[in-house]
Amino acid sequence: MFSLKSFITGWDHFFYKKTDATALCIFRIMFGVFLFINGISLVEDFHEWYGLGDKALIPLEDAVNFYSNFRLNIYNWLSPTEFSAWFVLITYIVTSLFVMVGFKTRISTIICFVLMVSMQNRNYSILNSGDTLMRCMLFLMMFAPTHVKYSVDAWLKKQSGKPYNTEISMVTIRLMQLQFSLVYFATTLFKLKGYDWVDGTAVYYTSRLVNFQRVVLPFVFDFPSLVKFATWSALFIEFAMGTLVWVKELRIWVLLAGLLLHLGIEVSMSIGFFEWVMIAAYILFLEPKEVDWLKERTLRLLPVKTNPSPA
Amino acid sequence: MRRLTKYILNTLIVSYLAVIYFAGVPESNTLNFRLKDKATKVAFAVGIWPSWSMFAPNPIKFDSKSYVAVTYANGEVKEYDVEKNPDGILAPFRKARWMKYSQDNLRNPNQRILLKPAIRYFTRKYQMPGNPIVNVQIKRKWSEIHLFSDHKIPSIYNTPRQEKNEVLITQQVER
Repeated sequence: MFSLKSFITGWDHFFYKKTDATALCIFRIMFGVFLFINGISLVEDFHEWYGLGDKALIPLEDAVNFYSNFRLNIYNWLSPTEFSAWFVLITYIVTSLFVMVGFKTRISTIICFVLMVSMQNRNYSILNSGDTLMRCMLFLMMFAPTHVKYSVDAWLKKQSGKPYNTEISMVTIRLMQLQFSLVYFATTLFKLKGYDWVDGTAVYYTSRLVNFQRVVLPFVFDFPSLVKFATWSALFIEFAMGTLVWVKELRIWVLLAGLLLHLGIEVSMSIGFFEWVMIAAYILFLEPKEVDWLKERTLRLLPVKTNPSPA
Repeated sequence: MRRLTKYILNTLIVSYLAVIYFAGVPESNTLNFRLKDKATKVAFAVGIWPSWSMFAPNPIKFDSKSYVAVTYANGEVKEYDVEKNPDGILAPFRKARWMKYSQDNLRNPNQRILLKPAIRYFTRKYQMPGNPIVNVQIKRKWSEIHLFSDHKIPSIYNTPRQEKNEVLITQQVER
């Protein structure tokens, strides 16, 4: 049994403990890269997805009638012209670039979020789970101090002689971790409602979806016992990412298993941004010491020489 | 942090977590079902609506592709793939969108609203000077994956499957 007081203390410690901003700011850079790639990959198919009249597969005039409930959609307030449609996409690309480099970070993140939601509401027929994940993470990034390190904002602030405090409250990192963990928890519950995942046959069917295939792993999915092992392992790792990742002693092992799962899926299947955003978000689960270790190792691999940190 | 600020912040945290939880997980009881409806409305309004049922509850068991069959005035019939076939470094991301549109949504009976604008688009796209289009048909070709067997499962390499056809919409083009 625990007291209400200990619950409140625990809550405060969980959400408001101070931590170093390195992991959050590195995540901002990686996430900004994904947002930017997402934007530029829309340019070539702009007319099909966001155009007007018979140049579009879903014309704007039809799309505005799709929903009866309120949705955040800037297209409802803009004039229905090709210029406005391009304006939304180009502004999204520019703000995603600003998020990546950390220039006017907060306002750029807010604009980027509003435009992303609008574009997703404008054409829902092309969205996959990667788009959903990016949108949900971007929502939380609007509230996070992602600009205090590795950003143009931080550099400018340092030049002015008043650098940012890089010790930040855990609250937005915790919410991102919880959102991220819920994705795994929810997908496990959805999968347990069916029979293919429980019977151990789901990976057989996903591996046979020719349209999703990238690299066909030889023989691995040709044996019933291996198919069952892969199915149940994937289900267990997803369950662990939703639950056991919160157990201190298991966290690193669960993250490593999750990393292997996502790399395996990325090699064998082509499903957009989902795997990359998930892998990038793993950094939010690392302790500051682990982030420093990882940063140091990564910098050693780069061809540029870095100055040794002062003792 | 001031006490009032903390109260407000904690209320927002609890509200946010309730919305993402109830909107995100499947309904398992009546309470959950009713809260899901309300949470989903809030999630849509603020732009955090979830969709976490990846390959769940069961993965689909067929490969499907959508095609456009265009009949021209001279009687010629040409068939085109609905999906573009992008190349280059951005291809995987573009391809994922075309796949979602063509393989998940356009063929879906619940998404028939997508068919008429698609007909207009393809009529414009595949017009030929001096040889007008008289008929456009969108159809899908699909093949079911062989059922799993505990004894022997078909190899992942090119096990032949029977292909089936389904016409999704046929439209005469007015001249």
